[in-house]
Amino acid sequence: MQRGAFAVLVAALLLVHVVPPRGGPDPLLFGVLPWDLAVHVVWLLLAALAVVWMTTRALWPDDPPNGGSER
Amino acid sequence: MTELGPIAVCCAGYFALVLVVGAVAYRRTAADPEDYFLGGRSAKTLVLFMALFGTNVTPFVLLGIPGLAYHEGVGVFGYNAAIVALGIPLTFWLIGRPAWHEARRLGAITPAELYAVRLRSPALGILLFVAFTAYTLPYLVTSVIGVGIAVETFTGGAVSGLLAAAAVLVATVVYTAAGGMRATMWTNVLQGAWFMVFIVVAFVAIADGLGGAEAATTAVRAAAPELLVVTGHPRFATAGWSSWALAISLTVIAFPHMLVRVFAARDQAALRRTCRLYPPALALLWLPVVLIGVWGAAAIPGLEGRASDRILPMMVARFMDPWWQGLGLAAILAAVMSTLDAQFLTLSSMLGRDVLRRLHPEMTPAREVAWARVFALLLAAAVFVVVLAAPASIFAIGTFAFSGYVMLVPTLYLGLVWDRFDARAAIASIVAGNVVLVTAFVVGTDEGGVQPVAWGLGAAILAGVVLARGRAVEATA
Repeated sequence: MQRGAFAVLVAALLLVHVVPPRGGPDPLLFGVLPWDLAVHVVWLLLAALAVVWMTTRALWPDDPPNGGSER
Repeated sequence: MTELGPIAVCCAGYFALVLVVGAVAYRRTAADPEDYFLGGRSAKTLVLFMALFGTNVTPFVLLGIPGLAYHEGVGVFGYNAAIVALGIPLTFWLIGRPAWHEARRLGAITPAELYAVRLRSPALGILLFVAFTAYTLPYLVTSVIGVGIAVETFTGGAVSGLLAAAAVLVATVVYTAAGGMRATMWTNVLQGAWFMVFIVVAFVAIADGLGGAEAATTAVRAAAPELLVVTGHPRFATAGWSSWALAISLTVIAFPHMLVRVFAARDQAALRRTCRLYPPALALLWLPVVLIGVWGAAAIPGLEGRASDRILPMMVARFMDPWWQGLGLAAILAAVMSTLDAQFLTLSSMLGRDVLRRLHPEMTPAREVAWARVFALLLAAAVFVVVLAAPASIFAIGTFAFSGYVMLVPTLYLGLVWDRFDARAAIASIVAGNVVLVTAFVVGTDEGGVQPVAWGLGAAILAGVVLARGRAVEATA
């Protein structure tokens, strides 16, 4: 369940990365950040939160994936 | 003291520090391969993160990215940093996590060895060794070219770039050959902290020198407003943007020198915490370097082509005093050496374990380590010879090498999680991906079109999956 929801979140983030809302050189947010840069800074913050979720034990347990398959 | 004095003092101090750390690591490293190549698989979170991040940050980031932002603007941040903040931790989860478990279970020390043993194919091990080496050598060259650019810019040409490159290669190979993985990880902590702190300080100082961040950005808006938007740059057209996102996200886990560091983690908790640290560290480093490059376009206009790779050192030289310039040059050397050491160690370990040991199975562990030290010296000499040829820009070489590593990703992933993916499928995947990649590079693509990496990756996945499924059908019949 959590893996599925996480996959949906990652897909949504990738979609926004590929087709983000674009702007022009005005206005400068906080006087410094143009819109096209600010969008990707916010995107990075959301990605950081997704990584925090990914690194919970529910998604990333200590055990080997699939019980450690031996060939 | 001349202006070169502080620069010389800072760089000499930096070299002395890393050599001392290397000497201490040497005293604590046993002459057995697991201890020498993997530091006894005992890296905790801080050392593991700094080793991975320090290895990951190269002149590609500190020189190539500001150089690219100088011409292409703020889109460079989303094009590279934002996507890898998700991509790198994701690949550590999908590939690094099972690889760590399997490397422990099988006692594998190098990535090529892991897959050769797991898929029961020495031929696959050799092929992986060849592919890893083929793409790591040009990547090594970008680092050393970066040294030359930085030194010549900071010293105003008083010190030759080739002389500096030789000094860096010698210092790096000395502490790496002596102390192995432990030396490279400990020095990476020092080096990573050095360049992170310096970039933040430089960002503040340069902004201050330009009259504040707001004034600096406003100046760009007046002089080159196209640098503050993404639209209109052919490189950032959707197909090119997506292709590069694929390359830059997938390539890092396929760097053999990164995967080996994953093997060195003490436990899964250390890997998890390392992933959490990656996004904020990337933001802290990339936002300043991109903005410095963009501000440079207004402050120091007129740099053409690869000359823009010098923009960061030029901005530091213009807005910071000689002592900070010295610390800045040492920071760039730190970024270079923290990658070079990992690459030397990994390639020499693969030469020892995946080639020499197969030819001489009776070789003792101590002799294997001794040969790895010799290989590190030979690699350093080979890199210096290639640097003498003065190849293309840092970003261009990086693009080629990164694309090549991505061709290995289907094998690195499917070889761990899909039991039907055997050595034949892996070899087919690697060969098909590389053939299509090289063909696409030779034929050429539009700057904003689908890049060679996407075609090559598609071919690698297709060939591997078709062969693996074909085997499954044969088995059922």
